[in-house]
Amino acid sequence: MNNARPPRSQQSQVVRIALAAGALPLAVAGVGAVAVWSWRDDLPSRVATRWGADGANGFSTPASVGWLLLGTGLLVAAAGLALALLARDEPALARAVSGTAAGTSGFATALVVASVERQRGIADSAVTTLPGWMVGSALVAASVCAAVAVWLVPPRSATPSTADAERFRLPISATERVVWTRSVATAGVPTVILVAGIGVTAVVGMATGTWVLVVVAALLAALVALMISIRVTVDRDGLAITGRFGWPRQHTPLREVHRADVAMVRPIRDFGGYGYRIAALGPLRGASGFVLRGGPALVVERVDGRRMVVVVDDAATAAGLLNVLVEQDVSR
Amino acid sequence: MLIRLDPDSAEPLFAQLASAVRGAIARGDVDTGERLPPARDLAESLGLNVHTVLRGYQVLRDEGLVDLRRGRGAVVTAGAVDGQAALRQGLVDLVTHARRLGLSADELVGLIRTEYR
Repeated sequence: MNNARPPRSQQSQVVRIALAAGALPLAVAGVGAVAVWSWRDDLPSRVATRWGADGANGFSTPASVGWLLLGTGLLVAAAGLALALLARDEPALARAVSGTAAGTSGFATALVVASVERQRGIADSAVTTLPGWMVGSALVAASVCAAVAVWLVPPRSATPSTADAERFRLPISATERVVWTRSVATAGVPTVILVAGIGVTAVVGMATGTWVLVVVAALLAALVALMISIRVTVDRDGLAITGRFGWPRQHTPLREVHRADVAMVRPIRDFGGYGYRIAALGPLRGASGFVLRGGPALVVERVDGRRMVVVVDDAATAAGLLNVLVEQDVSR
Repeated sequence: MLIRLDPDSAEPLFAQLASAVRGAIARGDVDTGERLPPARDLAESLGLNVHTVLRGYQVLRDEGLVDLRRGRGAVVTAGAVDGQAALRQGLVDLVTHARRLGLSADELVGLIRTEYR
């Protein structure tokens, strides 16, 4: 999908970032605030804005809800804009920040607007509830906003580095059938923490009867199961990274690979944590990928300038093979 | 693990595959209980027929190096790793002994070759 394009001007990139991380979150919240304001005659003088296990327990006037929504949108947009502009040289990061800002604003707005809309035309807001599906649909709205923001900020089309010095190379003849494959599992400590966290969530949910928590725990458990170990494969089709059960699947064809290298990765320091990450600081800034544990990692610089990372044993052989296969790729 | 197959070699591809996996187990590239890639995926990566890969896996199963289980695929057995570990240990002992006797690597290799015949 992302082939090399002509270089985009710095200015146009900044404008797009401003739109995605600033204007969009603000606009979404603004629309929500206007909607709430337009219903003010339909609503009780105090609307429910907070719910606990036993019903509504926090109330505000419709006007305050509108202002709060606007204020939230402003805050999210300001923070998002600042962070995204700081990261304007690393499109992967700028996209992630923009998506988060837009998604956060989208989620808050959708939830507030839906819960307030439900209280139109009723006299006493104390008996209203917050149905579970509202949270679900707010998440959907958030995803849509995030997707739009990410779409607005394109990945960089940089000219890749021309340094040919010391490329890993594995001498393979063009007629050989060859494959390099390894599996990687999430490091022990993060796994224990994840599982413990999910367990606690489930237990708390069941003990208090908050079934949303149990559902969340089940979803998390499914996600963890999918990502707890991955298989990394290098062959004449390119680089493929698949989850334990076949999904998620990330495939990079040979023609999109510029060069492969090895780097030492320290998860907390370079990526801020474990899992599928994007680096915000450090030598791997802008690179995204699978950091299931620390150690040697395969770093792939793509033709479009993006860098991908996957921590796996014997990364040097993988890099050597990938570089040679790229050389032998006749379709270039 | 790295698998390289030479289609021009006289040795059939499934046998080359089995050798490659055997070597990977010996080097410790795969551990006890680890699953080998599904036959279908490996066949696709190497441009082989699925049955060729399965045949290679069956050779390994017959040698006791992997277990073939429905739904789980080919899993490296403890015996495989232990067997290779024992070999590796024997090798270390052999080399130590040879050094003490003042044998060069080439001389030791010559002795090994003789033993193989």
